[in-house]
Amino acid sequence: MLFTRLEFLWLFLATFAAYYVPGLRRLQVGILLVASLIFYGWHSPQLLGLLGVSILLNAITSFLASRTGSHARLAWAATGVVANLLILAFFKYGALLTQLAVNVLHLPHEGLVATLIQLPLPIGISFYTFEGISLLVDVVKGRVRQLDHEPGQKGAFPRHLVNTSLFIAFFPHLIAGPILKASHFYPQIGGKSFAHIRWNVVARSLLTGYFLKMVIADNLKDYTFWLTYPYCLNLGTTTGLVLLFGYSMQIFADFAGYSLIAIGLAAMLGYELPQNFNFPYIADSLSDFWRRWHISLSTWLRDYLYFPLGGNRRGPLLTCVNLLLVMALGGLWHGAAWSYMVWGCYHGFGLVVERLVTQSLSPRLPSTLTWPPAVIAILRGLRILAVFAFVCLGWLLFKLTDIRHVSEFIEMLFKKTRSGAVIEQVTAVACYSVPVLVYHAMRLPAVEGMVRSQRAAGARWPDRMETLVLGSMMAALILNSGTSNAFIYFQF
Amino acid sequence: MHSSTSSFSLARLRHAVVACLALLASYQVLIWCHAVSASPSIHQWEDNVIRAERYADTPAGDQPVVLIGSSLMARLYPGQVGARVQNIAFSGGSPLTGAELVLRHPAAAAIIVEMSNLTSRPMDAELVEPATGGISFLRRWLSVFRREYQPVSVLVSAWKDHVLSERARQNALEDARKHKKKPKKPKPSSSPKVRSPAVDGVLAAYNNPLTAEKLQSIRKGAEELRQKLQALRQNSKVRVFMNHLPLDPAVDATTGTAQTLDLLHLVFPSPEWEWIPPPPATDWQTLDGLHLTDVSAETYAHYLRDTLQARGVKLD
Repeated sequence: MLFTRLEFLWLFLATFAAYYVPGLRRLQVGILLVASLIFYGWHSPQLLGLLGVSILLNAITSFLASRTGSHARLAWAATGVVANLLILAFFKYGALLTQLAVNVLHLPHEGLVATLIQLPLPIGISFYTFEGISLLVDVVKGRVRQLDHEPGQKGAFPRHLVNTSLFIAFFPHLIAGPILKASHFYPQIGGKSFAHIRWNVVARSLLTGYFLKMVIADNLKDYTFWLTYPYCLNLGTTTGLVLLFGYSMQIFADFAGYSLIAIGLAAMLGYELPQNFNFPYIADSLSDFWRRWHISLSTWLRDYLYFPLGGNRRGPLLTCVNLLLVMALGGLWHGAAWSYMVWGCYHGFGLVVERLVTQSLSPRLPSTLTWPPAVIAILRGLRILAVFAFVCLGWLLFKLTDIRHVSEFIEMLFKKTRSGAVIEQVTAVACYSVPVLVYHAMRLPAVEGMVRSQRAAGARWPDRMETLVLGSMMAALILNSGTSNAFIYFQF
Repeated sequence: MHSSTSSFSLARLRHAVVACLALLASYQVLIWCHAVSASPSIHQWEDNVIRAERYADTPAGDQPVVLIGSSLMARLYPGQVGARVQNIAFSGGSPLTGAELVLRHPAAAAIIVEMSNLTSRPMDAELVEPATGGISFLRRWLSVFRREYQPVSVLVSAWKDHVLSERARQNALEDARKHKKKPKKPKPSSSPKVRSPAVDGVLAAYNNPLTAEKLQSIRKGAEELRQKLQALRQNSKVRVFMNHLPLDPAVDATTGTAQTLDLLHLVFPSPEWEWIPPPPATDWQTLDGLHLTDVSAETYAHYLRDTLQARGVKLD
């Protein structure tokens, strides 16, 4: 079910109404679970089976891991992690690996092979398997205090099963994140009161989220469609670059929009989800970008993969290897296509180069403390532009998932420099990109500092401006929403 | 988004709602005062939505002749067929969508159904529902809700017109300055690099005999279409014409095309169903093997006009 569809509105309103009925407080978790199952199984009820298996698997292994000594604890957790990875590998990468085997071993494209290649991808599987792994690791590390019951306490497992079901299936984050950590979510499970709803978070998150998704991303998709192969070869340099820029805006608006809607909906139900985006397009380095983009995934990869591999503690060479490995796997997490892995390697390579350059240049440059502020601001601006250009180019691998098509597109960019721009595409992309750019610009230190000092001086215009912006976003949602479309990150 | 440290109250939300309503009202007033012109659509999907909305808002007494089908039929300019003709063929869509629209809003006097691209695409509820259901009636009173008045589309169309007229003016000045007016060679609609893989792709798909599964899905779509058209003929006395638009000659000669047409003639047999006869053989030019170029589309529109008039359909 999509957050942007009417059926979701009815489901949410019904859930919300039942959730806060005074006499039903003890049933709140159950109400959320029922709503989550309806939400997930709406179009494909058969998917509930796999979700159920994942919940049971993680509930049982994490419960057993929490009850046993250190060796058995590790064994149960490892069993759970391996089972999660096998489920993910089978459903997400089964087709890719089978296709590889077909190509290499020249297997016939029939029977089991054909079935494996056509295996449908269960929606949200990458998200909920990673959450299951997070639960198991957090249990081993003793971070989930809710499991520290007396041994043999009656009702401990059923309660844990219910909590795990909510942790994994909670509908606001179920199919496209943010990826939750057990240590962050479990302490929140419990009775909620209508009076404690943080309406400021709800209003800002929902309005901004729906605006980004329905007005920006859903409209931009109609233009960035022309980046698909072979149509992209008919574009000139200017139009091609503008559409690529537009795709960068679209993918941000789509995913950040989804995350904000998820945060707003969860806040209405009394839960706090982590921020997933922190104005990524004003990052002034690649490492900064990854601290701002899809934060829940990058922190997951950092905590559960990069650090266990040794992080940056095992010398410069292994640090670079770790970075490349983590980014390549992070890329592959996005989809069962080699282009995603190439995209991960592209970012990994960028991070390695950035690290090497920074380490070799830093000692030789004079301290920036002595530089004029204008020079520092200009240099930061240039760095932001360079990072943005690097990231934009990388998105090509998301849009054109065949590497040959990417190289043909880049070749076209160099060859068709004299082709005139397609006015309507360039103008429309510019119109829809402005709000995203303004949204980021508001977070630049200079702008933020100015607004803060104005507020401190008692000026009322920042608040009035915010009210007008919220009103304009509502009007834009009514007047200028695009066609409802699945969120890009659903496919991952 | 990070929550700001400023206070946020429900009163501010109320003010935001008031600001929103004021913006909507102001925009509607601008439309009523003709300060804003409708956008002719700036991309394919928008074009589909505008076509659907315009048809759904046609008064029942107008009795238009409608063209239904996919992007193949969508390339025909209705004015070239006749003044009373409306084109509700949808790019990326199927004749089922157009037929459903006419079923829900039976204003049409005759329907010309495209049979060249009857794929397994289902009826597109995303087009039909918003155009005819829910609060679509509001569109008739408040044009602010019409797709053709979406602010960004209006802005982009206005800017495009401005740039194009400016370019035309510059060119005219340039020509006048040079005292020579060379007739310009028309720009090809599609580069050979794009056309070639596209035609190859179509040929690869149609050169081999269609699989039983594919034929079955086409048959299923055709049966569904027949039911809708049958209902229209019975309920609204609409005349229905089946029409095979010309494709690239190489594609038209493929086994797949012949198989599809044979199947469609079985489902819609003559003379129970009126078929528009194939146009005289000529070298039909297409963009990609399937879609007629502007010039060929105009030639075919004229052919269609003559054929329909000969059969007593009032087009003007």
